Amino acid sequence: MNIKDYYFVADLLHEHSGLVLGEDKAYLVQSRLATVMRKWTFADLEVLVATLRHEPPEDLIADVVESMVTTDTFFFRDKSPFDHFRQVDLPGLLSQRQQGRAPRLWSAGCASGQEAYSLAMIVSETCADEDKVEILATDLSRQCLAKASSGIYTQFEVQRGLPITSLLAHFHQVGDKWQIDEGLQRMITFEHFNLLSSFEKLPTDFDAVFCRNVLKFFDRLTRARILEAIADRLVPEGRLYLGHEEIAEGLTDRLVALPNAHGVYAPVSEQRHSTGPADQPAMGLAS
Amino acid sequence: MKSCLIVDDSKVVRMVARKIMEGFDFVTNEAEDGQQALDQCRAKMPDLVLLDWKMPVMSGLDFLKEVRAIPDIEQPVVMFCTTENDVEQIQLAIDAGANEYIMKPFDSEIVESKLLQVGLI
Repeated sequence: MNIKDYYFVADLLHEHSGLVLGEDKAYLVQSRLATVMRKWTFADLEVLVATLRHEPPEDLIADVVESMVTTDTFFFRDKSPFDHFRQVDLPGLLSQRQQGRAPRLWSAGCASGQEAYSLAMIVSETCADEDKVEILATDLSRQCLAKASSGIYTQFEVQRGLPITSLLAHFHQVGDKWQIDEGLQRMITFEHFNLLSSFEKLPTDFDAVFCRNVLKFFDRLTRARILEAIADRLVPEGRLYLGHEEIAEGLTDRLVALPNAHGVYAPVSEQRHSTGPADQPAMGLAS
Repeated sequence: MKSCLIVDDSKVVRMVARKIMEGFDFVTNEAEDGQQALDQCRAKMPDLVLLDWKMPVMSGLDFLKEVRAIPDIEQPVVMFCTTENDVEQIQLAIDAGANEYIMKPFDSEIVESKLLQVGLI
């Protein structure tokens, strides 16, 4: 792949997803585009890129962008944020629920769904009436969302981050794969959502947003914009969970890190920004 | 350094497991069956036992029951590493006192994840 084509694909990816390709990713781009090339039966990568340059079909752009997105994830990734959610945040949320308000969680950039299902497992292990907690899980990749919705994972996937007791408690074997229980699936609404797009259709009262290991793939400006938009979507007592390598400091003054809880942030201002027309239905979840 | 006893009748699996465990800074010892493992545990208890199920002389499950019955010792973490992957067998292992369970084939990522689960790294 020549350097001009590489930078063209990098620009296209940035324009459509906000994701930034590093300087040394030519091999990665080439190998991932090869999959798209085969699917669309292009003769070679040059023909594929030439098509992208001249009025490409939307589906082709979507396939190219999806092929570049990093989708590697696992259950209870990094463990400590989920321990914090289970021990510190969830008890408070459940007590709110007893006062009539269903806690709302958002797994932003959910990839193949392990993060959302980890949250669902925690909820179901903590309270009997898990149907009263709503989890929205969104991702750019429709392919990932299809896998997430199916709730079916390979033997390799269920061994990454998932304690064996949780596997026994929440999955059943289907041939050589593992299917998550229907009750956990019911807790989660999977939706397509591009973090670059307007957040107006999202609910404005999330109690916790998990956006972990997502922002690190964006440029600084995009990270700042997404953080501000998430801050707008949190209730005043809400929490944002970022990945271990990610920070909000220096990008927004709307979020402040909690002491003794690495990667957990709280909104600092109760002043809410405009949320769009009041009669617009909220995405995914019942408003 | 923490110690790991690798119990498997396959020399190749023991070698692969040893390389992975040494990568996590474990000192390793090896046994070819449950009886050898039990003898080693009685002499010096490791921090972790990585345990195959089907072996000659004494199975992994029988070893686990024997080791859990030893009184007044600091019990090791026992992690099965086996091709016995049915739910019923996994449940049997957990009921007998296994702390974690690796379904073969395995790699260092899976081992790392399981070691995190049991708090050994």
